[in-house]
Amino acid sequence: MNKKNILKKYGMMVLAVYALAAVLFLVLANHHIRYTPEQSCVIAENPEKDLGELVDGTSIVQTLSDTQKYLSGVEAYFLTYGRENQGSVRVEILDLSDESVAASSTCEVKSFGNGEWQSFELDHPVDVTQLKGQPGIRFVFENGTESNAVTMTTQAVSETDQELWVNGERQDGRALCIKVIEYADSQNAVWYPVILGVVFLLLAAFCAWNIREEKKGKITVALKLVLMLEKYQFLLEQLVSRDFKTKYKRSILGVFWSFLNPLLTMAVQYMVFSHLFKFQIPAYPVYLLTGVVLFNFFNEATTQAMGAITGNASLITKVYVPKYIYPISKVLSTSINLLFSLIPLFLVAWITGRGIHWVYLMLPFGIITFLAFVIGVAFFLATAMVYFRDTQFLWGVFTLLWMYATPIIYPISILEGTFLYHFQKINPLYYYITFFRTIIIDGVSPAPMAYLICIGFAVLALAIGGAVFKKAQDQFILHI
Amino acid sequence: MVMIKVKDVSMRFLMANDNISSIKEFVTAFVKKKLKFKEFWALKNISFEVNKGEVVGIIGRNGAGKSTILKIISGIMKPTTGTVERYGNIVPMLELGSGFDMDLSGKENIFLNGAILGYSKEFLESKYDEILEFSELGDFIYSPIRNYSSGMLMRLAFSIATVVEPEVLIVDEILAVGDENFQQKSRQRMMELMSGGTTVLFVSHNLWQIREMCDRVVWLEGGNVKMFGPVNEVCDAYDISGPDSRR
Repeated sequence: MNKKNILKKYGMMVLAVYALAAVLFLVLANHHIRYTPEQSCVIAENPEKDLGELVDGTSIVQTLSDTQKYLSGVEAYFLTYGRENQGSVRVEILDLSDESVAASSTCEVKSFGNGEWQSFELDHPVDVTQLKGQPGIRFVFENGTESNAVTMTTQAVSETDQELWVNGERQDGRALCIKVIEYADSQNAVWYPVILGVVFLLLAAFCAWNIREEKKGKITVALKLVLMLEKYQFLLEQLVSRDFKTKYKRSILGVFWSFLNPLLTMAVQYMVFSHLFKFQIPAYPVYLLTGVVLFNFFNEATTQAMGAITGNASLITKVYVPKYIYPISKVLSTSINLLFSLIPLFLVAWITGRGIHWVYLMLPFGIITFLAFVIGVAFFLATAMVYFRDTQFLWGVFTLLWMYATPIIYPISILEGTFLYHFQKINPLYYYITFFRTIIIDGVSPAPMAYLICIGFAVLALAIGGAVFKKAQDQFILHI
Repeated sequence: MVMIKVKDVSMRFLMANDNISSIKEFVTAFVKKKLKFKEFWALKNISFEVNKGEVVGIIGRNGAGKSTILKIISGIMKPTTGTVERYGNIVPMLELGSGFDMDLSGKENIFLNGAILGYSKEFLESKYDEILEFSELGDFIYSPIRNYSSGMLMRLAFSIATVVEPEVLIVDEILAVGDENFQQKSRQRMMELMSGGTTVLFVSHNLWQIREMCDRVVWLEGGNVKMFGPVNEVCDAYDISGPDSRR
């Protein structure tokens, strides 16, 4: 066999996949790369005095100064007098020099909560530097009648460079209780393609070096890895297909359970939690199902892989197969389930009105890094299980605890000020679930930092789990 | 040409006084410093070589370390000290039907078991008909093996295990399974495999078979090599050493 071409083939594959991923990242995360994160800039936030009922035809103008370059949305504080009101409000970004409208957003007042911040997303972001005059925000109220309209509030301010006008009357020394969502051009934008390019060149150089060494007849680490992969790929396939085939073998609905299971879990939790706690989460079914699907996968994969060594004792004592194959095959066979259960997730997302976006192309990145993370954890657990069978019971309790400590059924905001809120900063599951939620619910790419964190946790878990496993694997046979 | 080179191999087993299998027991034992192990040397400084095309037998009484040395040569166990050098592809035939899954069909199990034994996909596909024919399973090959009789299971397992074309074959007793007819067939297959110029490492209690098949013999006793030399010399010495070895 011509082994000369093996490394070349794999090298090309790695480079191609990397290039594709890098380009996709640059395109899909374009917004994060080019601009700074969105910030909400407070014009005024203490609702000291209300403006009375804002009936049909009322118009409020708040002038803006010291804005960042782009405006993408507005949050405003409304009072409803505790009743359900009628009519709508239109938010417009004005060019004050000629009162032309640069962007707008309309909302029915019926849905407003009393004393709540209501957010308006503009139909497109406005570049204020392109405006001829000063920018301003106008609220236009329509179809509101007496005792059927909402009101807005103001706060006393000392600065005078921002002005508030209600129906053409200037309100001296007062500012409207609103926040403006702004962002600017990022200074670091140019570095992303440069760094990605440099990594590509390093990768290419590494491949070339390996191919040269291979021609000289030396066996490098990469070559070893590739040969190992070639050799055990078939075994891995067989083990994964065995697990998958036997999982639902004697059930009537068979593989259909992969769809049904997360859907039913989500339905039960949705019924319980949406009525019991009434969390203010947009697209709650999707929010919940994303968490449920990912956590179920994590739970199932780690539980299965934990017994991979002890459960295959009869094989390990009789045939030589690299032992890491067993936990990996368990995680991979569970991951087929994960792929199946993504289908109902997309379905629910689509039914509740989230479109399927281009940014879905970034999901494989999340899945692969999450898989790597789970494999790392699986290595550790499988090793622990060989020495202490208590691990299985401990882990059962631990995962339950982990589930409730992770914002899966509740929003992270309810944790604010508690210890658990800080725990999320080091909670890998939270980052992976958030990565998926950003893509599926918001339809935008996560921030570049989120990608790095996903890779970081995967590498960390693989390094620790792999090292523990490698150190202990020769002793397994004496303990099982 | 040397195919297997066993050099100063020793294997030590640590046997804890009690079998500690929970964290609590471990911690209490560790804190009390009562983690005492009894050392047991299953093999002590074993050295021998197997040349290409040679059939080397390993004899010895129960507990002499025969299975342990086979496992070390197959790579299943790592020796405590010493090294084993292997050249060429080694097929250990220590157990039949490793990794059979009762819920899968005979056909699926051929591929699963074959993969575990280290065969490639292409090899299994090309040998599939041969395996099926030898196992005499016919259309049963498509039904789950939990419905098989034990004889059918052994026939299938034997057919997969012996379809190999190994450079080095490691055999723990000649496997003869199934009814009388199949036993004869399988014994013949084993003989074919072992006499076809392949290098064989062969463990048996059957001195008659050893004398017939082997060129050289390693005699293990209590983890040591008691004798290593031409077949008749070692077998004669083994024969007169004790009545329990005679068959």
